[in-house]
Amino acid sequence: METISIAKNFSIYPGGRVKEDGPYSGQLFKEQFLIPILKDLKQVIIDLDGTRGYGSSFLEEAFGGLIRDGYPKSQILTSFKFKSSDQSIIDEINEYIDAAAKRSTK
Amino acid sequence: MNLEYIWCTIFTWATKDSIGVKDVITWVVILLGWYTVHHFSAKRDREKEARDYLRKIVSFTEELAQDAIAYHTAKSRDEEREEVILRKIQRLSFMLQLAKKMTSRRDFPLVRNLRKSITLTNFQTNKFKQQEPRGEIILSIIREEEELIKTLF
Repeated sequence: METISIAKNFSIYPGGRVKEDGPYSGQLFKEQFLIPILKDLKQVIIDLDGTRGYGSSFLEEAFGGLIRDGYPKSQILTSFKFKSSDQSIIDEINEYIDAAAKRSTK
Repeated sequence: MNLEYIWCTIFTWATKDSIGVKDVITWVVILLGWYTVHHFSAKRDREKEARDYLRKIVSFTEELAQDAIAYHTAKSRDEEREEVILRKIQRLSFMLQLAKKMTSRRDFPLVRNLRKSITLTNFQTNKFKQQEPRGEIILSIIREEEELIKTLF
C-alpha cells in the first residue's frame, strides 16, 4: 500500500484550516492529496509523523472536510489508514470524521 | 534474582562442605531479607521517579495553558507563538506516553482534548479575534488543563 508522509510530501509545518490561513492548510492538503485518492478509489497509508505538530483546525478541515465535500465515511475509512507514534492524533481524526458524518445525516 | 537458583547454590555449597542445617537456614534468611529489602527499595525508587515525572508534566501543562491563553488574548495573531504551542503540545503528548509506561496505567490521559481546546478555533487563522479573559475558548483551555492534571493522579 502506498504511503503519503505529510512531513515529506506536504510540509513539516502543516497548519491552518483554509488556504487564507497559511501556505500548508488542511484545505490544501485535502484538495492536493486526499480527494485525488478518493477519486481514484485507491488505498493509502497517511503517515502523520515527522511534522512540528498539528493544530486541530488543520485535522478537522482535512479529514472532517471530506465528509462535507460529499465523500461517505465508509469510503474515507477504507481509503485511508493512519500511522502515527501519537495515537491521540489518529483518535482525533476519527472523531472529526465521525462528527462530520453525524452532522451530515441530520 | 531467581530464588530457586539461590537456594540450589546454597544447598550445593552446604552439602559439599558439610555445613550444618542451621547455618544454611541462617544464610537463607539473610539472603531472603536482603532480596526483600532490595525489591521494595527498587519499587519505591521507581514510584518516586514516576511521581517526579508526573509533577514535571503538571508544570509543563500549566506552562502550555498559559502560553495558549496569552496567544488567544493577544491583540493579533502571533505565528511564532503558534509554532511554540504546537511543539509543546507534541512534547506533552510524548511525555504522557512515557509516563504511561512508567506507571503501567491503562487509563492514562491523552492530550487530545487540551489540543482541541487550544487549536480547533481561533488558531492559525487570519480571522483571529482577541478573546476575552473569561471567553469560551479561554474557559475551555482552563477546563481541559485542569481535567488533564486531575486524571494524572
